[in-house]
Amino acid sequence: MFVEDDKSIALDIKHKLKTLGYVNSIAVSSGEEAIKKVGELRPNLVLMDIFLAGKLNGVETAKYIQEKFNIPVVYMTGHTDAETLQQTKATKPYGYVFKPFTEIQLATVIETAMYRHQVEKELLEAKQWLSTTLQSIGEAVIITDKAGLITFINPTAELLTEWTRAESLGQDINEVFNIVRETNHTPTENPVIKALRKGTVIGLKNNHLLITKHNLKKPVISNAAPIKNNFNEIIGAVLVFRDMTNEKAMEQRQKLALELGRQLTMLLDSKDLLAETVNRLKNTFGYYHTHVYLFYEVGNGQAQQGSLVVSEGTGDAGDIMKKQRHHIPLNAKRSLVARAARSHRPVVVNNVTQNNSHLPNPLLPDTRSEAAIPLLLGDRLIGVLDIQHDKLRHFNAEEIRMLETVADQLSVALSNAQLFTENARRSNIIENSSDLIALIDLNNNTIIDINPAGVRMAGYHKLEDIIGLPITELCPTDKIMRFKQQVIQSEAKQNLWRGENLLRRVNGVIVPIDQTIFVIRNAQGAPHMLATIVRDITQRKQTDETLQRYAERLKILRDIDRSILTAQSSEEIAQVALKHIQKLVTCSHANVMVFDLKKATATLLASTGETKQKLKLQYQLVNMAIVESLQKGQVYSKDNLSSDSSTPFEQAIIMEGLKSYISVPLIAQGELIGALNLASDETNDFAPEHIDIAREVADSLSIAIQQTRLYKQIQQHTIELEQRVEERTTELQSFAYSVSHDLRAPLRAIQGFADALLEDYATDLDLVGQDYAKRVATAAQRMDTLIQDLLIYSRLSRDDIQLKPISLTHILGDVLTQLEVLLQDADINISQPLPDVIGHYSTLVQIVSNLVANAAKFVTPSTHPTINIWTEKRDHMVRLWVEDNGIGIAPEHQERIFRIFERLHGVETYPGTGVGLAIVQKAIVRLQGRVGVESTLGQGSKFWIELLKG
Amino acid sequence: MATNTILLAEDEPNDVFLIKRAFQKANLKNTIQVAEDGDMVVAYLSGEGQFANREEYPLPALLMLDLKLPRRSGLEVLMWLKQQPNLKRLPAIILTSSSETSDINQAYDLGANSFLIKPVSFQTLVEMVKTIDAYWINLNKRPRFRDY
Repeated sequence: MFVEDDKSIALDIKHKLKTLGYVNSIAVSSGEEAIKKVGELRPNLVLMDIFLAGKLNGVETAKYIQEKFNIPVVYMTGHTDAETLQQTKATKPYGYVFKPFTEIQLATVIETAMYRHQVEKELLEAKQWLSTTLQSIGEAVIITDKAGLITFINPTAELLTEWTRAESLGQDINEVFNIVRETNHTPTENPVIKALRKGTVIGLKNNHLLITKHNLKKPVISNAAPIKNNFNEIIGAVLVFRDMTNEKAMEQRQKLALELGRQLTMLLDSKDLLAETVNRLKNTFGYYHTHVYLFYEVGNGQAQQGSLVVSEGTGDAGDIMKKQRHHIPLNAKRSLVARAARSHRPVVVNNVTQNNSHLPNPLLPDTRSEAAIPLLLGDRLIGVLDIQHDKLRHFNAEEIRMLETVADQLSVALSNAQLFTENARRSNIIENSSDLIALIDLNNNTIIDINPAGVRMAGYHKLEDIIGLPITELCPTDKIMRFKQQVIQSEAKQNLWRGENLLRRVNGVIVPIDQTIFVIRNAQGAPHMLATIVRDITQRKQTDETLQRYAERLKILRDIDRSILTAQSSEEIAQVALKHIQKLVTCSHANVMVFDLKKATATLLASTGETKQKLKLQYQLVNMAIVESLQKGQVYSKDNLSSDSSTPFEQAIIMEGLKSYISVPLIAQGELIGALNLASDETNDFAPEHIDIAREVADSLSIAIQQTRLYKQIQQHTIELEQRVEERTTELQSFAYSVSHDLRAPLRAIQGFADALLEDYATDLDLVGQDYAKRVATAAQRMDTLIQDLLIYSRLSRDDIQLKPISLTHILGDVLTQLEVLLQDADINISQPLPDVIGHYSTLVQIVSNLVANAAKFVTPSTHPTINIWTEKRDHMVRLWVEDNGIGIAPEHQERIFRIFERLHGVETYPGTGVGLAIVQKAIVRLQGRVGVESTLGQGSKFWIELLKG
Repeated sequence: MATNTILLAEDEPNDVFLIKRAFQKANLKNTIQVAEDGDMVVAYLSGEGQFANREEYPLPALLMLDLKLPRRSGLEVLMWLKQQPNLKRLPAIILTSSSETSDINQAYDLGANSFLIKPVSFQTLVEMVKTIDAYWINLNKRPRFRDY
């Protein structure tokens, strides 16, 4: 842009600029217009005519533009009077060009001005950047000249030294940065002075104190560096320093925390430990309140459940909370403590008044910030350490780290203490304990310490003899080493093992022990030592073994009893007994023999061991003295078999290298039936207890064998009986067959010929003769009916009957059809429902048809027969009633009528065979039903049958 | 060769007499040939010995078979009959005193065409033979079997 009020000159300038390549030059003619356009267009350079028409002249305009817009201005002037030049100089122009000028002159001035402006701009920016940086950095910075007088001080330095910028500028550095040694407060050479003197960087470590303007002492670290110019001359120094007050304090706290932790791990009583922790924490670090919650798990541990219970707390508030057993459920949403417990991370609230998740505790009204630190042992939550402070924003990251350190140590200490109390509560009576208590070095597995009882138990005389021995010397099994391996691998998870183990005494005798091993951890929670408590359980083991033997004895007896029940053979029973007795009585050989006293033989029933194959199946009983003693129920025992032994059995077992044996009698119902023989390859091998066991087994065995024999006899008997029944049945069947076939043939002949006589010789017979012939025919007919009925009756007991649901409707339908002729004059009323019953079709038809036929038959000649049939449900049965209006049955006869051939009337009056109701009775029994009658003489009868519901 | 001959296997002379008399009373003209035991039935049907003369002893249209026969029981005869390729289709009616279920079932199992119980009453017998003739000889369509 150029400012020129002469239009012709302006045109010329524009032209020249164009020639120089500044195509877009802008021409304005007044100062006001120039300021306005510069504001809008921001040109790179302004060419300014000094004398301008209008209110503002060129100098004023240039001044405004440079100050306001920082745009370089070059004056164009025709006058070069000294006054004007003086005026323009004050505006610090970037150049002058004197009218009239050539293009070259113009170009040179413009380029120079633009370059200078660019450099100035960069320099300014750099200065501003440096200044801003120095002003704002956290480090304190002071710059001095070469004499050590202050030329710059940043706000951090002002704050630290308590010297303001105004006060300090120009001051001697020794005044403002006044330092002494931390140890003895004696002055030391100022690093700035030293740097100026030596020309090198001087650092002061953190054991120096800065004395502020108001005489406060602050620990600082500082660095002073000389500032050199291009000629390597020292022109000043820069001092950078930092306040170490907080760091110092934190360092101190960390030290305290570590110390606290170390001391805590030495406390083995949980109560002391917790009390010590909360009080020491509070006092050492100046907390408002400190308490510890311990975590108590509830349920199976998978579903995170449980409570955090205040176990220790500082001051009265702590006591009250402890007494109240103040607790927080693990799932409490807002609780700081519960959140820390759940997340396994510290939870901090630095401004409790603004945090709505904080629940104010009325006992602790001054709490402003609070931190909850979880107590963890590996992944396991032990509790929460809760710290409260009466200042806002107290807990920074450093502090939390420190508290975590304390919490970790506390966790380990607690764990150790708990283990110790759990397993060695009697630590003060370890010395007097009758149990072996020892400490084992985890590195080389040697015994570090052991109590007097332990020395005795292991069979040593002196403590020195046992200290330093590998624990494997005492406990030869790998159980301890396996536990150690688990402890090392699984870290915090495994802490205790308890079980049975073996202890080797110094004399080599091994005794059974009950052993507890637990880990003692160091401050870092790493396994440090193993402790073990050992109790000699020889006595208990012996008792156990005795009990076990008794149990075994019972088991054998039970097994033998079971064999009886399953009706196995005598051989199998004997085998079972032998199998079990070997578990109780150690013997090389056992066998069971049964005796035949008449033949004086013993037959081998079952046998065990290697001699099994070598024994004969039968031995002669030659020594009757032995047999007699056995018969009396005495056990015969031979403690030392010698070659002059009398019996073939003894000789046989001597051949097999057996040296002693016992023979236990098997006695059933007072009779000697055999013997249980146990033999050993050692002499005198059978103790009284063993003989007792053998006796018990022998007793059971006798009964079992006897039972089996009886069972077999009964079985044989049953088979014979069944055969006989079968034979009888077959006989009966062929008898019935004969009856039905052969007995009827002559009847047919009698009937047939009587009929032929009547037809063919009617003329030769008089009326009496004809009547006789008719009677012959009728008698034959009746006998046939009788035979038929008897056959039906006998068939009822012989035929197989399959029961299934039957429709009574069908049955009655069939019966009415069968009896159509007989019933043609009767009134039959059948009432629904007729439910299904369980029965057999043709059998049931027989029953019902007999009842209905009787109902129709037994009426006085003048009565019109009326029969009512209906059913009635009785529990799970159906009762079918058949009621008639007949002659009735006197009470005294009501039972008789169901017997076979029982008749109450002459055939002439009421025809019948006397078998009908007997058939009904027999048939209903086969259908698992019942039959009965209710009747009054002369007033009809009500017969009923009952069958299972279908 | 259509024939009205009935072979009656029956050992009881009284029964033979009465059955023949029943046919007579019923005015039936069937020829009744009688075999007195099981073997004779087999011989007759096989055409052995005297029975080779089919003029005199023609193959019957129907066999009336008692179960209880000397030498060879009715069931044995039935079993034999049903195994003869040429004779197996000859209708066989069991006419017996036995009403035993086992007899009835066995007879049907062996291929009996009918099972009748001999009635004691002569009048019933007459009715029975009438029915037999009406059904088995006249109404029933006879099977074909080869003659020799």
